[in-house]
Amino acid sequence: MVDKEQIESLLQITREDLRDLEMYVQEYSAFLPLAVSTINPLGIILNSNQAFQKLSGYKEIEMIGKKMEDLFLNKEDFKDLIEEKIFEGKPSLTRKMTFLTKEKKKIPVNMAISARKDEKGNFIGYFIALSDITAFEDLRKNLEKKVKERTKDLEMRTQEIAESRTALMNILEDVEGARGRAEEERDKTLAIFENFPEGLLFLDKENKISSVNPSVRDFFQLDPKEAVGKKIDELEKKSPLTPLIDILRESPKGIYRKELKLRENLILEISAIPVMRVEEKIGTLIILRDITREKTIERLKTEFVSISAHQLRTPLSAVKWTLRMILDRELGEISKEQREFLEKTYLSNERMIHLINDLLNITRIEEGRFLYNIKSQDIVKIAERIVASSEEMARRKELDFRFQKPKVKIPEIELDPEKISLVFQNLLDNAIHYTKTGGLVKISLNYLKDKKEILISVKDTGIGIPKDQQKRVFTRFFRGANAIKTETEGTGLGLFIAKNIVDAHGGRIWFESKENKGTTFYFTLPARREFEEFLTGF
Amino acid sequence: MLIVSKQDLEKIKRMEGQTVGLSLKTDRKFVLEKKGKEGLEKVEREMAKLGYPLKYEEIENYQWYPVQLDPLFLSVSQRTFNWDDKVMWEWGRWGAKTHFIVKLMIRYFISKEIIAKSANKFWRKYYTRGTLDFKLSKKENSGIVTIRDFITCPAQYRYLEGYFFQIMSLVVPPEKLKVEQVEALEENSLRFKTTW
Repeated sequence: MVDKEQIESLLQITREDLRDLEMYVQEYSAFLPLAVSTINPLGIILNSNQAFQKLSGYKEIEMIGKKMEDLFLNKEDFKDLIEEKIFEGKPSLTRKMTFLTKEKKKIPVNMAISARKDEKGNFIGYFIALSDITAFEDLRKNLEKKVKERTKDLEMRTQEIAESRTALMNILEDVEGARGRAEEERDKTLAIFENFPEGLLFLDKENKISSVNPSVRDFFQLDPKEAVGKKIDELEKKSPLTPLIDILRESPKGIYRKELKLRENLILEISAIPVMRVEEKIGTLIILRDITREKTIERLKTEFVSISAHQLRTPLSAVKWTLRMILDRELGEISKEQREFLEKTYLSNERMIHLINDLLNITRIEEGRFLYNIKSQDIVKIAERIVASSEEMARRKELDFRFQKPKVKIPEIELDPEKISLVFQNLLDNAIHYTKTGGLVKISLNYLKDKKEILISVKDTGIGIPKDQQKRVFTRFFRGANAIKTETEGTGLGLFIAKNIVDAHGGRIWFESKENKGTTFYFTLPARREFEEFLTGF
Repeated sequence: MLIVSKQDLEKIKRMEGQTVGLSLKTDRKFVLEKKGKEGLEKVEREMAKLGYPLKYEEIENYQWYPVQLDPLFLSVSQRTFNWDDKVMWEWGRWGAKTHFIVKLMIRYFISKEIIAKSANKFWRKYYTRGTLDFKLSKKENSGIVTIRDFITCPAQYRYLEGYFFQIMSLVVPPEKLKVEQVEALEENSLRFKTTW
């Protein structure tokens, strides 16, 4: 038997257990962050924890007895959920819902419903747990917004890429077309290059031989592999191109033209042309023209002229001296009428001799054997002699004929006196012939000490040279149109010969002229030691 | 001058049995909420004058106390604060919502039938004396709640009406629910009719 004291003791233990249990339940309810509520099968709220009260804004006292469905935005959804799902035998489920607070604020929640049963398995209601997913929903919405924006951005970019692709395809087509045309042009150029009768050699901007055409190969008996791709400085000394390379090395930059006697029966004219793209030099084109035949014809012509001139000069000299004897009455008296005829014949013969002398000079120039009597001479004396011989002619034309000697002493210089006399003579003859009576002809000599050269000028106030013809003044057989009208005589060879003589002496010749005002011819002769060396080349 | 009528006090003193501390404590919480600590102390002083000096802090939830303390606290509070029937009715509802005993019995609030069937068990959680009977009339959508062998005082009447209303509102739409005291047929008993 259990006595009263024992019963009271057991009761006390039970009371303490109950108190502890109550405390535990209260603490648990207070601590649990998840909003939990118990509802009966009719959906009436029987109790709730503090988290639920906090979420809803209702005190527990206000909440007990309320219908749970009233706390959701869509009541029907909640009712359907309970009636259909729970009673279909699903003990629990989770669903997103919109919870309505006391202040009618809408809160997205994740709702978990769990059916409650008693010890006999009878359905007695539900536990409802709500978790506020506002932050999650905001995050989801933000993510969705970002995904949407990103998708839109991607769509735009995809569109842009598609457009770019189309544009690129169009460009590609254009490029393909341009490439086709370029290839066509290249083929044409290549065909021209390969079939061009003259030798073509292309140097790139680094002076590498970029390409040679078959004519070059033939001229130099060259295997292109030995030369193409190499710099001209890197070519072997025994390269077939060596004679050409020597000329290229020594030649000035820009356009020039040189001759190269490669073999006995092959003379090439070398022309170099810079190849420009816009303003940038991208290389040099060397054109090699076979002028062997031209040179041969020229040589034959020169020889013919030389032989003819020599053959003609002998009888003309005989005619000259015969006529002189007759005119000097060494063969007896002649009538006045006879004298006039004979004098005209004498002058014609003189002109013929003069022409033949000019032709002979030209043949010598062309044969490169023009200067052959180089000696140290006083040029002033040469000038004085020529001036003196021309004074009579100037006097007859009543010209103001002046000779201005240098103010300082001019040193003797190395020259061919006969040829330089010819220069003086030709320039003076022209000045006197083409200056009208009463005009001025003036010869001046100056020593340009700083340049170490002698400057000679022959000035006249004659008919001048028309501007449009001035470029041709030093070419063979040139005579100004106004000169032909004024003076029917003249070979047109004097200035050509003068220029060749001055050039051969290392000097320069030029002029200033104005039609009907006059002309001044200038030429220089070097007065330096090196000149001697220069002359030895002729 | 006593705050409770001599007649009521004598009636209360005749009450037999015990009530659980949880119940006493819950009722005191209502006064605390309505009138604060001072209000509660005022009631406790009046109770002490009547020979019942129990203080709120001394009450053990699961200890049993003389049942007189229950109706006496209601009467003294009503008189002290001059509360009308409406306040007493609300007090009853409030008690039904907050009693831990109600929470312990929550599994029974799932239908009228289960409540009716569990009524006496429910009563026994509160008191060691008396019985509670709840008879349903399905035809009339009503039921009669009878408390027997339990002396009561008038302060409890509206309180119990509110209490039963709250319990029934968990299974019956409250807008249709009505609980009213009807004439008791037996001595030391009370009757309430619930309709919906």
